[in-house]
Parts: sequence; structure tokens; C-alpha cells
Amino acid sequence: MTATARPAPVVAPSALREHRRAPALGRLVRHEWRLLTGDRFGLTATLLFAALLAFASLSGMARHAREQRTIDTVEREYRTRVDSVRARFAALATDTTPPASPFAPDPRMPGAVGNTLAAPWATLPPGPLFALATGQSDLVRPYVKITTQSRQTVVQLEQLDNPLNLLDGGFDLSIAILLLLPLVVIAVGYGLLAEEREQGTLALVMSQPVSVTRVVLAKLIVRGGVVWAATMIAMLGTALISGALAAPLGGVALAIWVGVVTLWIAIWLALCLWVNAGQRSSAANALRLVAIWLALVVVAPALVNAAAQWRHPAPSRVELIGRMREASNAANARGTELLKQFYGDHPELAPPGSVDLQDFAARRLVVQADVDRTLAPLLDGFGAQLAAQQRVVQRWQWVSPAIAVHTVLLDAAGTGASRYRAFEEAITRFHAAWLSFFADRIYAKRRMTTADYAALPAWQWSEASAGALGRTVAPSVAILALVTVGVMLAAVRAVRRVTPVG
Amino acid sequence: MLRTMIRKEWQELTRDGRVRVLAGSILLLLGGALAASAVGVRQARSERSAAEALTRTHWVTQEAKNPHSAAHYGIYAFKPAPVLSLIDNGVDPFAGQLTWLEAHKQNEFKARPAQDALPLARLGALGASTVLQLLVPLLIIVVAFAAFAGERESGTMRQLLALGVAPRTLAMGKALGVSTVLLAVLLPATVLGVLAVVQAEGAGAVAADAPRAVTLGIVYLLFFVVWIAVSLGVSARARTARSALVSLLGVWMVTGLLAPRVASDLSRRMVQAPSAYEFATAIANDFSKGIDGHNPADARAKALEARVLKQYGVDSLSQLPVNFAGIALHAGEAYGDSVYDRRFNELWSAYERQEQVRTGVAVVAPVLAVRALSMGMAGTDVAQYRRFTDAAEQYRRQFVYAMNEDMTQNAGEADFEYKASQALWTKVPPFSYAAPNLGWVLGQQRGALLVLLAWVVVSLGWAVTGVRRLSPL
Repeated sequence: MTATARPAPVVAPSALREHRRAPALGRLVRHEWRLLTGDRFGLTATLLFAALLAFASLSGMARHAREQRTIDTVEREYRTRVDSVRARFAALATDTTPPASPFAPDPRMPGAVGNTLAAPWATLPPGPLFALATGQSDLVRPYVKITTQSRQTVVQLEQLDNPLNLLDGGFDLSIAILLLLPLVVIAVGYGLLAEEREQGTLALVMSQPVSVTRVVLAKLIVRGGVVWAATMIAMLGTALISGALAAPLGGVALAIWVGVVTLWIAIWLALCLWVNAGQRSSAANALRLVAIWLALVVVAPALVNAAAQWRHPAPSRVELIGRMREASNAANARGTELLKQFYGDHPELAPPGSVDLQDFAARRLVVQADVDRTLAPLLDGFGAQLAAQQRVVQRWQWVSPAIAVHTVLLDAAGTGASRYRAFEEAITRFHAAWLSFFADRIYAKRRMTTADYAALPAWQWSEASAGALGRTVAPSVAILALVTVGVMLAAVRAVRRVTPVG
Repeated sequence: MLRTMIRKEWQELTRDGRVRVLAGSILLLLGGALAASAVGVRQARSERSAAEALTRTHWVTQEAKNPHSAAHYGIYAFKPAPVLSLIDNGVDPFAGQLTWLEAHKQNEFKARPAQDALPLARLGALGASTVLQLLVPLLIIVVAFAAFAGERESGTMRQLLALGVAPRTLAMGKALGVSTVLLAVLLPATVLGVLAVVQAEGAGAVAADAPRAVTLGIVYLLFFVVWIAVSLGVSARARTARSALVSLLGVWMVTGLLAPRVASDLSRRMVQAPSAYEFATAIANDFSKGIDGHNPADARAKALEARVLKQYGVDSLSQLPVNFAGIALHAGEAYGDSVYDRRFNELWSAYERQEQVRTGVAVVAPVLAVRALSMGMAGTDVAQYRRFTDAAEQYRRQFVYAMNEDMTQNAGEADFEYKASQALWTKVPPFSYAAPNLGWVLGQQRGALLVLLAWVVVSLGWAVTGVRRLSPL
């Protein structure tokens, strides 16, 4: 399998001639580079990794382009529609004849304007590093049509997709970094010292006037450097081509990625070194490292997530249906009473003349408002439980650095839980404002005016500040840094005790 | 002879701390996953039947109202949670759990559980199926990589062959030794699985699910046979135990870890399914060309009016022996049905073609075929999701038809002022859904089945040729 059966001299012959002088690090590095390129398995793993990074980059850029295109289409549709509605209104503004039917799309009627004619799209632009991390973006629809319907009807962010594809998720750079990168580091690092020992060259090295730490450092620089460079090229290339630097927070997000990925590689190099310092065979090392990978990357995140779900289970959407029905049956039965009470509380919104308590539109609104009031705590419960789960995960992320890496990469990319939750909250607020704008006019039986058209609430997405993003990711980054330093210290201590034979 | 060999393998393997730790972890994770999902499935089932009963009560206790208002009030359909989903919950977390069946509209299934979960859940939950598909093959690798390569490296292969042990006997001994260790994990795992199923639904249901459960077991056994054959085949050919291990680990990672995600990306790129916006826009465009049951001013409604007048041989709508609004609603539904049939069919067939791309990838990564079959047996694959949504849609069409028919026959001149009584609501039977039988599921997953069987044959053949050419060096 490996071509390293031929015992390769660890220290270059020229260095041997320079008696009693420690070889420069540069020379060791050059030698290690030759060793690495001669290692068929390590080379295959690295090349496969590079190919997969390229695949992930291309997929990511295609995904980003599609998302942007859809949002552009949606926004264009809205502008065209609203322009035509305004034009139709301008032609009808002074026409006082009643509309053809209560359901007619008449631009003078607030009900029709608010629910269909001028219903705006609330859109979320792709996050700064959207092309690098799919995250939750395949589950969340980044455009929601805001109407005067109830909150639970409007605030629906479910994307349409093949459930099988959602189950597997895509292959993107964040996944390559999280799952694959450690395995590539293991592939090039499981025999770091064990191979030298198996070939007997370790004894030779240790008899030279060079510290093992220094030789090891050269090995780490070469092996880690190759993986690091390949990842950075893919990351930066994808980010730059997809216009990350022009996006808000792009620079900060990219800096966070560079930092976190560097720490992540350092952790795995240190783990390789630590395992190699034990006096085991390279095969045993490989198994041990894969077991560590399995525990940290596969088992620990799943267990922490399961614990969070068990501690703060999401409310049941199935149960919610029953509650929703009950609330709407109860409110419908009290429609007249609710409307009477409403006009009593808001005399300023009573239409001129006598109040019609059977008015379809006004009744529908007052019933809907009552249902929304009853359901609001239940609907808020979903977000609250998710936030509670996130806190549990945050508290337990020291269990595995993979959890911190995953959370930070997605949050910085703008496809994680925090940004989508902010989007949902912003939509909920905007929907309330939009609804109240039209409700006032429907209750008062007023028609739309030119001033109303000018004052329509407009959707505006405001991205979190760089400071806020920094505060979100800071605890996880701090934990990562601590873990890195800890594992490295342990590895260096272990290496100092290495003996040339098993 | 064979018995001695198996005993030797068993002793050697169970003495290895790594094997003990891995086998123990697998049992622990499997037990935990099964227990947790048994509780989850049981809860989901009771929640759903409670919600079904409650919304049924809401439906039958509606006050007297116009049948079309009742159709707008609608009925909810909840996706059942099959008992075997506790072994493989498949696409369930990413499939809608419920839909609102109402007049005029085929709504999509909503409320995916994944919507209310953290991104961390996307890294892969540790369900029983994950343990069986990912961790058990790892155990097989760990117990089998050194089978021949280890003997070769330590020089004992030369002795064995010199003793006159036939390579075939040696291979049988190794295979049975590995299988014994595997059985030591799988037997308690099966007991745990059966216990979990009984716990979730009672012994009666186990009998009903038995054909699927047994097939599920066979599928996994075949998958493990493939892994044992591949591991022994590699070990028979490898010069050192290390190179056998490293190549097997490489295959395990690429097929188990990368293949599903890469297949998902490939299938998306090769077959583009519509986005939510494209799908809704296509339907809206189809409708804007058609008639709207609410709007008799529409040109198409005029044509319908003329046709109906001619059919009954009268001059005006007031002379009709039936209610025209009901007929207009019927016509609206019929047009809507044709639109939804067309668009949903396009959507599902795009998903089907995406799944075919995966079956293609399964040719190099058999775990994809096993996943498809496992979900199929558990009742949590896309085909059965579609079958359920189709059944719900047929039910919607029937009950909306019943409402419109009552309107046509009985509304007379009262039109939308006409009120039907509770007798009409109870005439609508509750929605019930029967899962398809084993043959239907196997028919849907025949591609995956073929790929898995081909893998069994090819991997066994490959192992046998490797063993035949067994060399001591």
C-alpha cells in the first residue's frame, strides 16, 4: 500500500555531513515534503480531498447563484405587481362606485390590497458565506409573502424540497472541513513517528544532534500545511468568486472561518502527534485516531443534540392543530360580541354612520386577531424551545470541538440557527405592522388613498452588526482555542518522552 | 478442525480490547437509540390519534352551515408514524406531518420536525439505522482486517499452509470467526429491537409488521455479508495488516460518509426540482387561465352556464332543477384537480428521478441501496410518503365533492344562504390510511434490491478468488 517500505533517511545526507550542527528547520521541511510526496496513501488521500473541495466549491457557487436568482425573481415580481396596482389605483382613485364583489381585486379596497394586490415579499439575502455552508438554508424559504392572513398562515418558512436530499444534506465546504478534513489529517499523520519507529529510522534520528520536537515540528508543518493550504484555497476562492467581500459581514465572516479552520487543523495534528507518542504500531494508531474521530465528530454531536432535545423538547405541531381549531371555533362563535367589544374599545375606528356587526371583513379580522392572541404564546414556544436547546448545546460544546466548529462556521456563514431565527422574528414583527395598517382601514370601512399607497409598510432586512456576530461566536471560539492549546501541550509533553524503540 | 479455528478466532478477537470497546459501544448506542425512539414513536402515535379524534369531533359537530363553508373549514390529515420507524425513521424528520384538506386547494404537507430542530441535528442523528449502516461495518473491519494479512505478517500463514490446511477451510474458519463476533452483537441487538417494537405498539402489531421486519433483518444481514466478504478479500490480498486496515477504512469513509452527501448533490444537479416559488407560480398561472368557482363573471363560467342550460333544456338559471353554484364549484374543483395532478406529478417524478441517480451511485456505495431498502421496510421512504399524500388528496376530493353535490341537489335558489345540517358532516367517513404490503415496497425499491444482491454476489466472488490465490508472503 505505502511506498515507504523503502526506509527513507529522515535527515538529509547533507545534514549528516554538517557535524554537530542542528539542521535548519527549512532543510527538515524540504525533506519531509519529499517523504510526503513519496507516501502513496497520504498522497491519494490529499488529492481526493482536494478534488472533493473543488466539487464542494462548485456546488456551493451554483447553490448561491440559484438562491440569489430566486430572490431577484421574487423581488422583480413584487415591483411589477405593485407598479400595476398603483397605476390601476390612480385610474380609479376618484371613482366612488362600489366594487364588483367583496372578493374583487379592487385596488381601492384595503382588504384586497393588503391580502393580495400589494402583498410584499419579505426576503432574506444569502448570508455572506452562503456558498461555503448550506446549513439550514435548504430547509428555510428565504422569501415569505406577507398578507393580512393570520400569523400562523403567513409566517411559514418551509422550503419545498425532496426530503431525501434534506435528510442527507449537501456536500459543501463546511461539511468537508468538519467531517473530512480530520480524516485527511489522520491519513497523513497516523504514522508520524510510528512509521519511523517501525522502519528503525527513529533511533537514527534520535542519535542526531537534533531534537525530536524539531523533527516533529517539520513533519507537522509539511503535513498540516498541505491540508491547510488546500482548504484555504478552496475557501477563499469560493468566497471571493461568490462575492463574499461585497456582502455585509463578509470580511469578518471570512476571518472567523480562517481562524476556526486553522484551530481545527491544529487540534487534529496535535491529536495525531499525541497518539503517535504512545509506543504503538502505526495500524493501532490509525484505528485509535479513527475511533477518536468517530467519538468527537459523529457520536458526541448526536448525543449532545439528543440531550438538548430531551431537556427542551419542541412543542408538538400536531397538537397545535387541535388548539388552533379550538381557538378559531371559540372566536367564530363569539364573532359579533368580539366586534362589538372592538368598536367599543376603539371608537375612533368605527365607520361613519351605524356599525354593521355582521360585516364579513371586519368580523373575519376581529376573529383572526382573537385566534392570533390565543395562539401567540404557543407559536412563540417553538422559537423559545429551540433557543433553550441552543443554550444546552452551548453549555456542552466542550464535550467535542466539532460542535463549536459546526456552530461557528454556520453562524458566520449566515446559514445557521441564529440568522434564520432573526429572520423569522423580523417577519413576525413586519406581519403585525402590515396587518395593523390594513386592519385600521378595514374596520373603519375606509378606502385606500394616494397617501395610504405612499405610506405602505416596507420590508427591510437589517443584518446583525459585526460586533453582534463576534459576540455570538466568541464563546465557541474561546473554547476551541483552549482545546487546541491543551491538546498541543499534552502532545508536546508526550513527545518529549518518546523512545526510539517500541 | 473448523470448530478449533472458530474457537481460536473467537478467543483472539474477544481478547482484543478494541473489539470489546467497539462492540460494547455499538450495543450501548443501539440500545439507547431503540429505547429513545420507542418512546418517541409511541408518543407520536398517541398524539396523532388524539389529534385525529379531536379534529374529527370538530368536523362532525359543526353547526348548520353552507356545505361550501364546511368544505372551506376542511379536515386535517396526519401522517401516521409506522412502528418500524423506530429502527429507521428515514425521511420522516424532513417530511411534513400534517396537511389541511380544504376546498379548491391541494395544500402541501407542512410541519417538518426538522424545522423545529437545531442545525446540529443535520450532522446525523444516531438512530438504530445509523449504527447498523455506519458502526457495524466498522466493527467488521476491525475484526477482519488482520484475518489473512496479520497471519501473513507474523509468518504464521506459512505454517498454516504448510500444515496442509486448505485455503478454503482457512477462509471458512476466518469468515465464521468474524461472524461469531458479529452475532454476539447482532443477537442481543435483535432482541432489543423486538422489545422496542413491542413496547411501542404491543405484540399484535408485531405480527402485522413481521414480513417487513424480517425483510429488514435480511437486508442488513446481506449488507454485513458484503462487508465481511470485502474485508476478507482485502485482507487476503494485502501485504501487511496495516495496509489492509488503511484501505478498508478508506473504503468505509468514502462509501459510508461521503457517498450519501455527494449523491444528494449530484441528484440535485442532474435533476432540478422546482423551488417553492416556481412551484406556486406554475400552479397560479395554470389557475389564472381557468375558472374560479367563486366568480361567475369569469368567461369560462359563462361557457359552463351555457352548457348547463343546454343540458337541462332551459333558458335561465332560475329554471334549473339543480343549484348552479354547486355545479360551478364542481367544475372549479375538476379544473383544480387537473392542475394539481399535473404539477404534483411533475414534482414527485423529479424526486423519483433524483432517487434513481442515488441508485446509480449505490453501484459504487452499497450503503445507499441498503438505506433505500431499510427506509422502505420501515415505511419511511419517499415512495410511501407520496403514497400517503396521494391518499389524503383523494380523500379531500371525495369530501369536497360530497359537499358540492349536496349544494347542487339541495341549495335551490338559496345559493350560498342554504344551510346543511350535521347529518351531512357525519356522512363524510373519517380519513383512514392502510400502509402498502411488502410486495409493493419491494417493487418500488427493486433497483436498490438488485444493486444489493449484485454486491453480495460480486463481493463473495472477489473474496473467493482472493482466498484461492492466498500466498504465504
